Amino acid sequence: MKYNTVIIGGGLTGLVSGIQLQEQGQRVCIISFGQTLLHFSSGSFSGEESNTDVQALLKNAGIATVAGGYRLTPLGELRPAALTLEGYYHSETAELKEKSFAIVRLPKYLGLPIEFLQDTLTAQGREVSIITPDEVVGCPAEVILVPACKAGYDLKKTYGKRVSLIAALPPSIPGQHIHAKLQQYFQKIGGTYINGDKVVRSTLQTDEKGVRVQSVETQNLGDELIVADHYILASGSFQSEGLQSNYDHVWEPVFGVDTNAPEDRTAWTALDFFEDQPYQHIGVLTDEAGHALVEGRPVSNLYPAGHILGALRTDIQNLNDALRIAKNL
Amino acid sequence: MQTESKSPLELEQCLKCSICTAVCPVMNNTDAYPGPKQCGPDAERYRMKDIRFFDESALKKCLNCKRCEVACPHGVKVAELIQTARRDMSQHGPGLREIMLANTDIMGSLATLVAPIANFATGLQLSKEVLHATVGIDHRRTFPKYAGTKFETWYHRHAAQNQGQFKHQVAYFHGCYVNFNYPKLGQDLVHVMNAFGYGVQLLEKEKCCGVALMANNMYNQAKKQGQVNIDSMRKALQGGVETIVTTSSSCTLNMREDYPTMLGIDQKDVKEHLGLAVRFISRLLDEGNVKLVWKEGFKKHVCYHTACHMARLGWNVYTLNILRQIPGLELDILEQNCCGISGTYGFKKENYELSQKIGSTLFNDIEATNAEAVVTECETCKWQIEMSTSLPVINPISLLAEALDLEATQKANIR
Amino acid sequence: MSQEYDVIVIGGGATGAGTARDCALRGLKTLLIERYDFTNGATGRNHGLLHSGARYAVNDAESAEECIKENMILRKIARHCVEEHDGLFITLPEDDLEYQKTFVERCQHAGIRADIITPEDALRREPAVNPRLIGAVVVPDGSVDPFRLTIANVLDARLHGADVLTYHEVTSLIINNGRVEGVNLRNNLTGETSEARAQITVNAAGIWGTLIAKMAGAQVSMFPAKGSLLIFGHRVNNMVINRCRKPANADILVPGDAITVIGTTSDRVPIETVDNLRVTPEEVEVLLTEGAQLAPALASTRIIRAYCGVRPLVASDDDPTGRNISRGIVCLDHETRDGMAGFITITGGKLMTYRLMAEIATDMVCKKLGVNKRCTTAENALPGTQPDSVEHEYDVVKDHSPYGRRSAGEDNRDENKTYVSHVQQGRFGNNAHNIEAGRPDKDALVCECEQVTVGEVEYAMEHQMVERLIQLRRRTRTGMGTCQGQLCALRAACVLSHKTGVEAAKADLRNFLNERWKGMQPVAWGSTLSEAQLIQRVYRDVCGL
Repeated sequence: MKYNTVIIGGGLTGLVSGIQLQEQGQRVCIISFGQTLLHFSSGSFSGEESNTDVQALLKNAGIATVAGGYRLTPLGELRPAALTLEGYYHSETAELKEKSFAIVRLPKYLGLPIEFLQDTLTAQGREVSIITPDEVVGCPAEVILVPACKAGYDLKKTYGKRVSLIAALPPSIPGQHIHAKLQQYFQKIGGTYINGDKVVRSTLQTDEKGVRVQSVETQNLGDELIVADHYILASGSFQSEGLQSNYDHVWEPVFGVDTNAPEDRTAWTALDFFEDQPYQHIGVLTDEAGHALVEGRPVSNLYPAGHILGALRTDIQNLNDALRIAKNL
Repeated sequence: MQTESKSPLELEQCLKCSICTAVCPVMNNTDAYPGPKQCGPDAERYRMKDIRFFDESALKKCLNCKRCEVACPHGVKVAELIQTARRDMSQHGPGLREIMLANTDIMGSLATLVAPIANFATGLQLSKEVLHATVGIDHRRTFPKYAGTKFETWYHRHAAQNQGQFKHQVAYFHGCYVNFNYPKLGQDLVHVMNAFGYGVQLLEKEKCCGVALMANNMYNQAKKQGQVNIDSMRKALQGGVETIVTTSSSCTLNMREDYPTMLGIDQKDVKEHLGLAVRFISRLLDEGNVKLVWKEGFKKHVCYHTACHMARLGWNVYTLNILRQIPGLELDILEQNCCGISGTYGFKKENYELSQKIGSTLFNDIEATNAEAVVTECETCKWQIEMSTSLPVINPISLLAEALDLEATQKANIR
Repeated sequence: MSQEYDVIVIGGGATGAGTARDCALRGLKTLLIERYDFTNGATGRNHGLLHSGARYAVNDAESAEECIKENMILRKIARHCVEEHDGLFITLPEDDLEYQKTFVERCQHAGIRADIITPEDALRREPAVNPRLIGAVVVPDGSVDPFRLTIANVLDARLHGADVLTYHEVTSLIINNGRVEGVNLRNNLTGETSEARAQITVNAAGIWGTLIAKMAGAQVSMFPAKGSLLIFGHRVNNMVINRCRKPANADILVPGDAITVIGTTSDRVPIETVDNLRVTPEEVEVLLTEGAQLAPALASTRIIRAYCGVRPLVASDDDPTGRNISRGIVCLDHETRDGMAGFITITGGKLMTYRLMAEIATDMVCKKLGVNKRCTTAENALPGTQPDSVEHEYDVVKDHSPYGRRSAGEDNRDENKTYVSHVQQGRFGNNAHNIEAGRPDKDALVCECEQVTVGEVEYAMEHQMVERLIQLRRRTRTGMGTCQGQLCALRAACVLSHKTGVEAAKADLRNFLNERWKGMQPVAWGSTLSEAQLIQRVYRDVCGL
């Protein structure tokens, strides 16, 4: 199976670079093992500033977003966001504009910390009431918050702009939706998305020109060789097994790309949970042009992107990288 | 020393990310099912302690669609954990209903003898009410019709004698649906393979692959039947066929993946040579070793549905590869959603409404495409979609047979 | 809280709780004081081994005999805290098979059943055991949940009129004319001070007992011995596995509930460090290496947590230099020993013999008070266990369940309850009947790994003195599954906030996350590292903590 570009990892970074490449006329294949970090989405994309190209691409895929401003965390605090999904509570400024809020309590659903949320909003001088789904109609509050779970999405469908979604604990519906829309759009414009599969073998070729990836093979497709001119490695961090670890070292499982992980395991972690954790900064190494380094040598057609470079990279950083890499291929 | 982590069915690799829960079609449509994470890796830790923690009535609600396994980023065999627990810990044997629904060979053979009557009878509202009240088969469910002549009979009468002319031979595992209900698909398969220059043989002995038996806790019988199938395949390969092709996604997944794990059948030597015809054909196209002559002016608007087991196989890439090469084909790729029937599951009266609820998203998406047909590899999806939407459902092989000028293609490929 | 008690017991571990129970059962007006939460000391940080005593049979016959007797008693009175699955003592090729003979003989001598079985038999009964074994002996080991056990004692004490104060620390003793008359207390949550008075004060404070004794001017030499243990993600073995040789480090593998524990190491540590210990990489290495010898699967099993505790090893009292460590129970009457009346110390021993320690201490208390009542703690079942076997309880709950019988084909939303109710049964015994269920808001799961419902959390808040996540975890296992609190910590904190208020619950959540992290950090690799990253993502990123 031959493609112009094969992308390993069908998360946010992988899908966006795939879409960009497909729109540029390339034949792209994304190989993805299960779902992604998107499934812990807060309903917003983190980062310094948005990027109109990014916003436009998302819009084409059917994902409408609002740029800048602040999102509301499940605990009721405002945090800056580069892009927020339409339909989610969004504030232009660092202070809540509205004075009265209502929070919908769904039966049997514990994913939204309503007590904490109510307390934080009250502490900011807002009037907060807790209502049942039946009480949405006729509720006088300026803002009605519903948790971003399946039942919450149903309410959003029913009541439209009258209610605002707020992110909750996993399982994360906003992440699922973003993923599904990007995936559908990618396929609609001709992309091939191989789901539930992982690369189990890669073949690198070394000659006088240097090192390059020749082909990859996956678990489900057996001995089928998947060959491309370019490969983008967007497989994520430890969470999605883009990086793996054991008792004594860290490695990148698909190509064996070099990592910056400390030799000493105890250096991967900090003692306090709320301290900056060193493992969040572990990532694969590239040369200045963004080519992956394997045993110190750049692989001329392999480009790591996304959280595999470091788990604390913001969504916007990753999205910008995805677009930049794609445009240069 | 801790160089790798291994636990039964990757049970411990579960990070509780809950993605399986988010994609489970059952959980999203009823409160009564605790969900794949809880029924799988969560409960398994307790079941290891004591069999009393096996909750049959909850686990029975699992469709075995395996979407949880497709979604898991850590390779936890969630569905297999659930099915294995049912296999090992269930105290209940099958009822009459389960025996009727799952014994497709017996029911099929009997019904074929009296097909017109059987079709008439199962189409009658009265008989449906009787089945509903007595054995618990829901009266709203339409039964697939039985063909008067089995596919195998057609093959021996009309096709067998033509196969010897081809240099290359494949064997075809047709499955019980093609045999008893829908021989046209089998005929299409033979015609298409012939057009590509491949002769098609039947297996010496073929039994129902057993997926329905396993779903209804009749593992011993499934194992016996499975062994017959694998032995026949082995014999066919030794006799010179290049590979064994199939047209049903569920049969294929079952025989490739579940035969060794759920039934303990050793088929390592056969597995690599067993696969869907779409994979075989896709590879032929990629290798450029086959010539295609399309029908003049062929035009069709279809939508493609990825059956759950097809998603688990991960082979829809092959089908899409083929479909995208058909000139004149307008193709909509449907978002991946379960149709809800899950084989015999949707026939049972306690599951019927849930089945329909699960499939409703897909049905709406299908109607919204305004396509002429739905393309999918799964026959039970076909029953469900034809019953619940206004569109007919065809197998990609049948679509290929429609789009190709079979005679011209065959002429171009035979040297 | 009344002013004057017959007896004050300092220390909310098994010993203190057991003593409070015994005193209360004998009609004494009792106050139990614990500076943080129950089982914060060695009681909450061991393997949870229901000792048969076999381990001591060769070197310490007295301890062995005590152990087996208490083992049998606990099986009777604390059925819902105990798992009876027997234990194996295996001999590997590098061990001395001769030792097995001595071992069996000494066991039998101490009244401990010890049956030699063939290695093939051993493998059949326990498939996870090291297949290289050349010898195996079966003994009546089991496992016990120390949290449940301690709480059951506390509950019984309360049921019989005792007062209980947690988060109250003894800052000094009230001493008058060579007599301890009571204690000065500080509330560790609010900082408030108070006092309580009693005729006798019992020092059952474990390793901290040496500090309490000092307050009375008495020298009780203790040698803190740190022990570290690892918890594996699932129940690798179903029988306890021990090494048939002289007791050494890390040679006990205990299954408990849904996990397996390997322990333990042993290192002397200075008393000042006892409250701030962490598991070291060296200890992790030893535990893994030795553990894999017992069950090879451990070398590739996910480790979800590491923890450590401190054993209160006491100097043998007739050798104050401390070179002689007493393994037995030490009960000191400070009146005769140090000229300080109204004060006794009960220490040494082990979790298994807590009841006997409590009996000895209470006997001394009663003698001093001139109370003539005998100990009944070995006969009375603890709350949660009724005289009838708990096995029947499972069927009883099903039959008498208000939710009716299950029949095939019924779409019953309570089907999930069957599994959950079994798990709750396991935790609370027949007290599980009192957990509110049957309503969506009560049946909602707070902890999915361990099947803890809102109803159960509320029950624990109401009846088991739970206000904080760490207590909730001990009573109900919330946060003790493989996700270590990833999903449940926030949910549980919200439920608790109904009792404590949001501010306290938020601070508690932060503490709890750190407490869980403390155990994950020494074993943060593989799936556990991935889990940690996920927890960071949920709490710090999405929730913004």
